[in-house]
Amino acid sequence: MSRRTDVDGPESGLVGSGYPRPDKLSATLKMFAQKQPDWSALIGVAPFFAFAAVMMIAPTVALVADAFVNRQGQLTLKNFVDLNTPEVVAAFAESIKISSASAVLGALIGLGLALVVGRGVSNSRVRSIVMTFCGVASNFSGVPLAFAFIATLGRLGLVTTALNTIAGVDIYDAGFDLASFWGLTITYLFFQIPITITIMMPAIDGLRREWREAAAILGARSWHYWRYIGLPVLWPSLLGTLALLLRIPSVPLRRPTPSPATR
Amino acid sequence: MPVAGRSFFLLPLIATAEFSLSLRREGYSFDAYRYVFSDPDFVSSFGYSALIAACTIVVGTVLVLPTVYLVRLRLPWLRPVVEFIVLLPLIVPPIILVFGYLRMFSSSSPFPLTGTARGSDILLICGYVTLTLPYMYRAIDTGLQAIDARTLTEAATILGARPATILIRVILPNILVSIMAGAFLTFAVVIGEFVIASLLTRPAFGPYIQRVGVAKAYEPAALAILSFIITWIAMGLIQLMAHFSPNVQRENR
Repeated sequence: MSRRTDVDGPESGLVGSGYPRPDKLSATLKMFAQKQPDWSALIGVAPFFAFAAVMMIAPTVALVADAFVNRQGQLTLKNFVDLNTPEVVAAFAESIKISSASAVLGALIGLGLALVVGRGVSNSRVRSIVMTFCGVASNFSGVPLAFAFIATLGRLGLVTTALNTIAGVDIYDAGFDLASFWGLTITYLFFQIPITITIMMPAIDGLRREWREAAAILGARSWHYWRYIGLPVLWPSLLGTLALLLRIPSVPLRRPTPSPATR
Repeated sequence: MPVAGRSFFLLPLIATAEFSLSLRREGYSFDAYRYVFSDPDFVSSFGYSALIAACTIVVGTVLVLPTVYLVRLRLPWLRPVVEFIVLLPLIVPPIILVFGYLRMFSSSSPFPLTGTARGSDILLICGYVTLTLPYMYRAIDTGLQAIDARTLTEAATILGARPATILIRVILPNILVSIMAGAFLTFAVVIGEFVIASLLTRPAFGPYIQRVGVAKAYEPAALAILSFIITWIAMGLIQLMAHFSPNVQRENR
């Protein structure tokens, strides 16, 4: 215990800040130089690494390896060539289209709403309700989400019928369909926007009021402030969020099944 | 914008709630909910998923707590590796994971876990532990950061406690609040999970919702509202726990 190094440092966020700082790095090198690993501690973390190796890394590697092998056990790329059928290509294209549209729209709208909440709402109770709701909504996916939107924008959904009776507009006659590109994109936005708000909020809280005041004193307009200060500060988190959003809808079975749409 | 935002998020919930109450032609009733609760499959699948969630929480804690503690105090050079492993479940989709399991643990493999119900349960729990690893790790890591684990460990060592005793009787009670926060999130994820449970053919709650969704009209809306409420309760409990965390108490002093 006496040999160990001090690790009190700034805490890591969600992504990628766990790397040692230079002073920690030298401590790390010292550990290697001593060539005296902390065996009892290593045995303590062994179960975690064993689990990760057997239950996370091995299955993934096995599946990736399988993709390049044919039935006779020879290396091949034929499995990928075989995927080049109209249905598979169309499914991939459609998924990529919906995923990018919902990710970009989700990030932009989410950023706007996060700015409104982060800068406009000072009441901590309202804020905590909004953040809790975002936590709930970003977990609200799959079949329940599909049913929520079928009940809202389905052929006989609440909004569809309301628009028909009040305004006399039948959105299905106008060409809207919940199982279409826009219908699915709107459905995905229900969890893409809250995810963006959840991730962007700490970054928006990090925008200091002093920066804005300093910019204003130097004669910057609101546009200048966002162009040269606000956006550059938020940019890395926004890109990280976008990467996360692009991945999420590619999970299968989050597509609403259009069959039970009748009421 | 706030008004549009509010209606976008509230309308689907209102519409679902309205639909779930309109099973009877003559007016609103809770009949859909009554049917759901009286369905033996609802009770058994929810019970099964709750049990699996409990096992996931225990296994996850047993795996993550000693690792985070030891990495923090004695193996800081391992930290980047652990952080990377913990992010993997966010990158590898569940479907890849479960196909990997089916391939590695099929009945013709040396460990034919998919051959028996008990074996599939174990695989399901392992899959969920993997899936919820990022949440569990983050919760426990935040908890350990809030308490002075080093001083506590040194004090306990001076008093003659062994490492395992320190972990169970000193560290664990001190970060129980954070573990609970991770546990509720894990619970919410496990209750709604569909892909892994369905491909391992386990009688879990996610596949049950899916089955009802295909076969019935009003009950799925009731189930959607119920699952929304379950998630709200889990999130609310996390907020409550965060309120009692040592971090907040220190700020108040």
